[in-house]
Amino acid sequence: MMRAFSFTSLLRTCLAVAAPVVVGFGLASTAPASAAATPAGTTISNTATATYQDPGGTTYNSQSNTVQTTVQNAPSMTISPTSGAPGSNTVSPGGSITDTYTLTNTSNSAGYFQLTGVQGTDDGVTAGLGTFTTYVVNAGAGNQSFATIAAVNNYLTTGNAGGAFMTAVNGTITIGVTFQANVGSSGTITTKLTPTVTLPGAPTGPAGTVTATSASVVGQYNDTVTVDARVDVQKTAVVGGSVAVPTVSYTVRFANGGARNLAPVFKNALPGGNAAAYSGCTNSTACGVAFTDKLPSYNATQLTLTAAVPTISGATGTIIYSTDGTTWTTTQAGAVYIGVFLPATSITGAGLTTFQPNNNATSQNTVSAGNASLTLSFVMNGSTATGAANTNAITNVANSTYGDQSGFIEGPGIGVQTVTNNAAATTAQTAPIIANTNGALAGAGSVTSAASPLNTVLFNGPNGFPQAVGPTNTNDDYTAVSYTNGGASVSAVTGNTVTVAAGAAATTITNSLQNTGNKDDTYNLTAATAGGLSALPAGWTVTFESTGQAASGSCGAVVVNTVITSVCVPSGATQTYKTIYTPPAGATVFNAYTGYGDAITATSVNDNTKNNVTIDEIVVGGFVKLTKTWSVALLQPCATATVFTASSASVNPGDCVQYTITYQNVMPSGGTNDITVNASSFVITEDGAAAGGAQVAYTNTWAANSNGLFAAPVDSNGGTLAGYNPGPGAAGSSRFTDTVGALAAGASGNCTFKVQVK
Amino acid sequence: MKRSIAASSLVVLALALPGLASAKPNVTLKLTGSLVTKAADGRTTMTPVERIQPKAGDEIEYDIVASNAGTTPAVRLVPVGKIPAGTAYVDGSAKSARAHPEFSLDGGKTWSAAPTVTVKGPDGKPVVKKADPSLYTMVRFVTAGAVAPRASVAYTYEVRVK
Repeated sequence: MMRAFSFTSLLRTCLAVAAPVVVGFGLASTAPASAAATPAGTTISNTATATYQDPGGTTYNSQSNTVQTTVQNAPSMTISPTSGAPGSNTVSPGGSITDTYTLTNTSNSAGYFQLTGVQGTDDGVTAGLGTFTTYVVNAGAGNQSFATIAAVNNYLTTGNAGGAFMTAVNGTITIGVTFQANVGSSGTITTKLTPTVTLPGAPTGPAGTVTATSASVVGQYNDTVTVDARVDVQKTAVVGGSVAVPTVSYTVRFANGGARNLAPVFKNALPGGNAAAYSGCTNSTACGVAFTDKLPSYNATQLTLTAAVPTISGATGTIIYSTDGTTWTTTQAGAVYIGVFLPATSITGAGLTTFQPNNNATSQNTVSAGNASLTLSFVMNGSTATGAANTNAITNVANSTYGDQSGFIEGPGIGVQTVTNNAAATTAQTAPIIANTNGALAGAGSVTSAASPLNTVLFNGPNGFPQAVGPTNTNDDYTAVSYTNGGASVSAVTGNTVTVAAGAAATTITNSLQNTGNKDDTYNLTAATAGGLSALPAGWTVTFESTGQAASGSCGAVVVNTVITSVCVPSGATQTYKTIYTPPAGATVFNAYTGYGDAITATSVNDNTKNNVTIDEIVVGGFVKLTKTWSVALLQPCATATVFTASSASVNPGDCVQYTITYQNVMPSGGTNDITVNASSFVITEDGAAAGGAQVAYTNTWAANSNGLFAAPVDSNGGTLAGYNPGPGAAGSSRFTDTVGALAAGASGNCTFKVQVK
Repeated sequence: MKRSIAASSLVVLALALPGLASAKPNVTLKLTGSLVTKAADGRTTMTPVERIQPKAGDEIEYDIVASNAGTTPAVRLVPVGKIPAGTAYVDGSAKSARAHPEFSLDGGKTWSAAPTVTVKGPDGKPVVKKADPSLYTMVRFVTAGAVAPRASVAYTYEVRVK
């Protein structure tokens, strides 16, 4: 075994030791670029060897035992951003945002992450200015939202087909903390995350390893709360034109009252647009902001633009139109929507002053003309329909579609740019334009107005016939009543006067008001003695009461019998009311067969130059007046008598006496649709031997002093004559009846009969 | 010079005089590995690696004991230890009272007490620099002098689990 000493081998050895070592060329450093951790489960094995020589130069080798061990799990992780270098996002008051953390497994084996600590202090929103919403976890299966730490951890350990989401060495997952900034909040909102990573040991993990969990790391965001972009709008409407051709002129002013720039978003469905979405677009005409406005309707009838061309000022843009709110053109014909598209170059372009943040201190509800960045003006045809002059006839709401800096697309109906509004708008449809509350529908940007100039027309007339015409016009139409004391007839006492007893009942006349104008109106009621009628006796009062009214239009409900002084009548509607004539406590005296009463005047509140009158006429003590006269044919028997002389001082035996009973319904008549009192079942009884009388005492003697009815009486109205006792021409015929039947108001007639003086 | 050669020849002859065919050195190697744990108070605890499972960052000390069980001295004794995969040499840890360490970057093909690498400098030209110890793949100890029969020599070096 002894080997001869070899100079060559010794030289070789020396050369090997002295040779320069070149491990590479092109390395940037003498150190490795990165030292990957030795994977857990790796076996580290070492065996030493040696060479030596005996004194004779023979070389020998030797080898040691082998030492072996296995590399253990070494959990470690990083989070980004860290609490030492917090990240930062910007959120608007009331806005929502997600702080996304990246968790990296820097261990030497695959592991799963868990959240630790207390939600709200260690994990989640830690400041009081925001409200935690959810954790958004993306462990490789897309974003999943969870409300609690426990839910997150359960998902991370069991959500992957029943097992944990294992993240490879140097692999990452993301966990977002979503919160909503409180309305009105400002300053900084902090979120934190304190995760760990756990490396499972064998048998799940590498052989020869045991489960190990890292210390938690702390991630943090300090988010700045800044008021976002906010489109302020003020809209005004001016009603013009005439009642026959009404118009409504709208002026809509826009400005950015927020603290950040508007973000142009897209141009979909707009002229020149396409299906692509444009995010982060600046200084381009391919994206921008749309301000839109649905033209209002009235009574389900779409109002239209006039021929006047809409205009914009203050910014460079394009007026756009749509019939459906989805497809937009530059053609005005048939437009139901109008809007303005402002390209990004008109909003965020260099040097622009329009739509800059905090634009001239506008507010959500007020944009003065001088502070407007954009003004849109257009004129619409109004409406000639009933109620068109009501102040709330039409509502018009402007809207916008724009992006704020928080990434929210603002405004309802985003997909098609616009929103609707009309007189029957729902809450969503009346959504105003202001939008920085993430869709909360509050604020202004809308205006309500009339759709026509005012046209006041009213009628005051008898119950059910407000447009009744009196003898001459609609101001002398009338309602006539015969006064009864609670249903009891009142008779004349002397034949000329009639007394209404103390404590007698009131009488009520119902009349109707009609509003044929184009605006809901209130009519003030007044009563005064009407021309041609007698004033009610002293002590009588006149009041008005409601017949009951449901709320309608701008008119409120009124309970029946409520004492009123005015009546509200919606445009196009009719409403009745009661006029109560109340006697005083004591007795009062009326002239019989005389019309009393008042003219009731209704005066418009909308236009106090407009009024209408109806007349209430009251007759007390009966309304059919009987008047009896006589004449005589001196020295002429009835058989031949032809000339009768009235007011003869005396008669002679054998003279023929002719009696005439004149009857007259004294109630008013004439006109159209007036209410008066017609007599019916009117019967005259003539008895030559009767005596008595409720009003005037009398004693008839013609039966005794004549030969009785010479012949059948004659009624001018063809009344039915009967009730003879005995029949006419018979000796002693002393009685008959004349059944006239109906006797209309104002009608009269007479009945004549003859007797021959004995 | 002549006298030195003559003296050396005498030593060689003296060693060869027994003329016994079995007279030779017999060096055996004993390798142990221990986890080095340093307490806060500075005390160090050594735990055999067979009893623990190291993790990244742990330091393992390897001790080689070369014992000459033969009947003649062993000369030019060069024990070689590995830097196992998954570990990196701890700079300055190779020590022995009777040897100086050398290192290899290429699995033992070449050795140097201070290995260098050639890299591209900022100007694009090659530059020779000292190699990072983490690049070492092996360590050897060049023992000075002879190891007498029944004598032992100890060598030690440390690696860090990557």
